[in-house]
Amino acid sequence: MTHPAQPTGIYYVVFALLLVLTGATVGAAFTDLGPLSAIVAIGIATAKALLVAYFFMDLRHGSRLPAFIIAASILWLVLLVGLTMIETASRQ
Amino acid sequence: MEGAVREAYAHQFRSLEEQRESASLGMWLFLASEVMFFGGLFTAYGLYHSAYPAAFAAGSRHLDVTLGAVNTVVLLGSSLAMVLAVDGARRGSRRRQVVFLILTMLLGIVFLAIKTAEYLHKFEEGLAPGASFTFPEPGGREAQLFFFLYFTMTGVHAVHMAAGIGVLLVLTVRAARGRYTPEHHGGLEGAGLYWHFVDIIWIYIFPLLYLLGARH
Repeated sequence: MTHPAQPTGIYYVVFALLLVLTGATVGAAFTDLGPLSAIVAIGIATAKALLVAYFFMDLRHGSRLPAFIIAASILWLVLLVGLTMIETASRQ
Repeated sequence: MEGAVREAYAHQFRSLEEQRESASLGMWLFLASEVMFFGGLFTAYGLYHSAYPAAFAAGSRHLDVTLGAVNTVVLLGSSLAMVLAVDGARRGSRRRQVVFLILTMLLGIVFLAIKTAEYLHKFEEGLAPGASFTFPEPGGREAQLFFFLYFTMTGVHAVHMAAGIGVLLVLTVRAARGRYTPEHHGGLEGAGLYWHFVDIIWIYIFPLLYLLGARH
């Protein structure tokens, strides 16, 4: 987890990308995308979350243990949200 | 010299590296529990949104997209400052740590100030759930659910921000006293993980709550 300092330029590039994606998600909300709009919004948010996790939370230099914990928590989250939404969508 | 090195880690650990890994593991496990904590709220949101899509879109149109977007930028900026503070520790620069930690906290305070202004406006408009809730359009009962989730999700997020600012205040004092070295700054890294996690929660809250009521 602890490693020598890296060039800081990458952090500014990631920040700029996050701003662009924020603009994109606002732009998409004002565009008629029909049923795709929710998928686009969640997709852009996930891209931003991955950027923050990989570069700011330093997963690019991390050990495998954090990755394992993150994967487990995402699995549980998907089960929680996914099964709930499947039930709602399929109820007669 | 041996004594000084041994002081760096607690007696239950075999090495500084092991202590560092344990602290990191603990923070990640805490964040996993936080995923489930916020996950419950996001599930409730998904459930009621699918039940009352029109009322949720109508409720969402009463939120201020500009303020939400500005706050998103402020919070992303605070994450950038946080990562630069940790970078300062890696470079052994006390000044960078302190300057960027202060910037992180200031941006956090700006975020909370904007959020407070939004809340006050919602209270004035009668959009706070409760006996005095008034919604100018049909479907007020369902829209009230949207505002209940809005206040709960953003409120719990804001509490996390306030707690984070409190932690960063302590770390700033420690950083100014030279507590963090290029080899030993686990506390700063842990606080950074927490701060970025809270940022990620907002990254999902913003489109779900503010951008849902398509304005085209």
